[in-house]
Amino acid sequence: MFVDWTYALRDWATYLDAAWLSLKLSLEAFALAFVLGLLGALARRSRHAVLRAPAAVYVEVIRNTPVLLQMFVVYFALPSAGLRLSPVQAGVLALGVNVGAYLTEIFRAGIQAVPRGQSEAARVLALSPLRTFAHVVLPQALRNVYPAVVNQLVQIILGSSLLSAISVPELTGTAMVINSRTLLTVQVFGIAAVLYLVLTNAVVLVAGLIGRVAFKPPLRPAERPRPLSAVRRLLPARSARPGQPVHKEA
Amino acid sequence: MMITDPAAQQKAVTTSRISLSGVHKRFGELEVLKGVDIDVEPGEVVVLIGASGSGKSTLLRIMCDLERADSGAVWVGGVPLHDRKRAPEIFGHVGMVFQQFNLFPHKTALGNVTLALLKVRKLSRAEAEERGRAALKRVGLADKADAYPAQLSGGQQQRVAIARALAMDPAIMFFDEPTSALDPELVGEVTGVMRSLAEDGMTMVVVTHEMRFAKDTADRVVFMDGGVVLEQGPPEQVFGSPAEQRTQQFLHRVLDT
Repeated sequence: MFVDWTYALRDWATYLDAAWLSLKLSLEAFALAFVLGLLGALARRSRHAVLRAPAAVYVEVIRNTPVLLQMFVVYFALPSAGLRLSPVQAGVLALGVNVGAYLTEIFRAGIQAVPRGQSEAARVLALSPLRTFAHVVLPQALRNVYPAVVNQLVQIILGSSLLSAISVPELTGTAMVINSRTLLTVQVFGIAAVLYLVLTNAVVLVAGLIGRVAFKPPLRPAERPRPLSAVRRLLPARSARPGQPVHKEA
Repeated sequence: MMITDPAAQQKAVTTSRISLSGVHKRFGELEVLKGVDIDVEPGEVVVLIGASGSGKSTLLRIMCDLERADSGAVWVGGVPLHDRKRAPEIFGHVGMVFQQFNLFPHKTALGNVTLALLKVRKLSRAEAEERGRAALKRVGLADKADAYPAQLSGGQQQRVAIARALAMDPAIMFFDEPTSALDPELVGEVTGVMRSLAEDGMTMVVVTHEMRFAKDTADRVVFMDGGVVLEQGPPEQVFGSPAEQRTQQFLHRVLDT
C-alpha cells in the first residue's frame, strides 16, 4: 500500500503541471466571465431592448444547456464556422462564456440591490450616469456580490475538469492518463482530489485577502470568503478576543 | 401658462427663485398632484406640511428634477424643468437632503463631500478637500472627515449629507423629511444646522413633520392636502389661526401627540 503511494507520487511533476494548467485556464476563463458578466448585467438593465434581448437569450441558453455540450460546440462545431481553436483556447472560451451567464445574473442582482436613493443623490450632485455607475453603484454592487463571485471562480476550477473531454491536459484528464498507465486508481484520483482541494482553498484564501484591502470600509469577517468555511461551521465559535468588538447577529 | 424669467435665457443657474404653476403628477391610477402653484423668493424658507400622501414629497422631488411633472410650468433657479432638454442644468446647482441620507457607504465623510467637486467641478484634490473640510466644519463635523457613514450616528450622517450638498455651493437647498429617520434625541443637531443655514440667507424648501422647526424657522408654511396647496402663510397665521378646517384637523393631530 505504502509502496503504491510512493509509486504514484513518482509522477508528481506531471500532476503539478496539470494542476497549474487547471488554475491558469480557470483564471483566464474567470477574467473573461467577469467582463461578460458585467457587460451582460448592464445590457440586461439597459433601457434599449436591442441590448436587453440578446443578453436575456445569452443567459437563458447558457444556463439551460449542459456545459459539456457547450465545450463540444466551441471545440468541434466552431471550426466548421471558420474558428479553429486549440483545446486550451476552446476550453477557456467555453468556460468563460458559461460562467459569464451566471455572473450576469449575479451582477444584475448586485446592482439592483443598491438603493435607488444612491443614484438619485449622485444625480442631484450632477454626476453623469457613467460616473454614477463607476463611482457610486458599481463599488457597492461588487461588495454585495463578492462572496457569490468568488464562488463562481471555484465553480470554474471544478468545471475545468470537464475539459478533459476535449483533450485539455488539465488535472482530471492527466489523472486519467496516469491511471490508465499505472492502474493505481485510488492513489491517482486521490492525489488529484487533494490538488483540487488545495487549488480551490488557495483561491478562496487569496480572494479573502484581496477582499480585505479592496473594499472600503473593509469587509466584515462574515462578508469575507474563507477557506474551509463548511468545516469551520462544525467548530465551536471562537470567543471574541479581548478588546475586539463583538458583532451582534441580527 | 408661460412664465418669463430673464435668467432663463442664460445657461447657468443665477437665481434662487422657484416658480411652479399648474403642476400635475400622477403615478398610474393615483393622481398625486392636482394643479399646484407655488412661488419661492430668493432667501425664503418655505416649509411644506401635510399628511402623508398629500403630495409634498413628490412636489419637492419635482423641484429638483428627480420626478418630472406631467403638466405645468416648473422654473427652478431660472431653469425650466418642464423642458426635458434643459432640466438637467439644475443638477449640481441645488442641494437635496434625503430622509434616508443616501450617503455613499463606501466613501468617508470627506469622500462623500468631495466626490462631485472632483468629478463634476474638476477641482484638484487639494482644492476639493479644502472645500470639503470647510463644508464639514460648517455642519460641526470637522473631526469626522475620515469616518465612514456606518461609523456615524444618524444625526451625524444627515449632517454629512447636508455638507455634501453645501460643498457644491447650491443656490437652493431642498430637504425631504430630513429628520424622519432619526432617533428623537438626534433631531436637534440636524434642525440646528438647518436653522443656521436659514439665518445665513439660504433659500430652502423643507418637507418636515417637525412643527417646532416650521414654527420658528419658516418664513412661510404651506399646507398641502389631497394634491393641492390648501393654505399658506406665515407660521403664526397657519399655526395660530388656520382658515381651513382640514388644516385645523391636521395641526390638531400632529401638535397633540
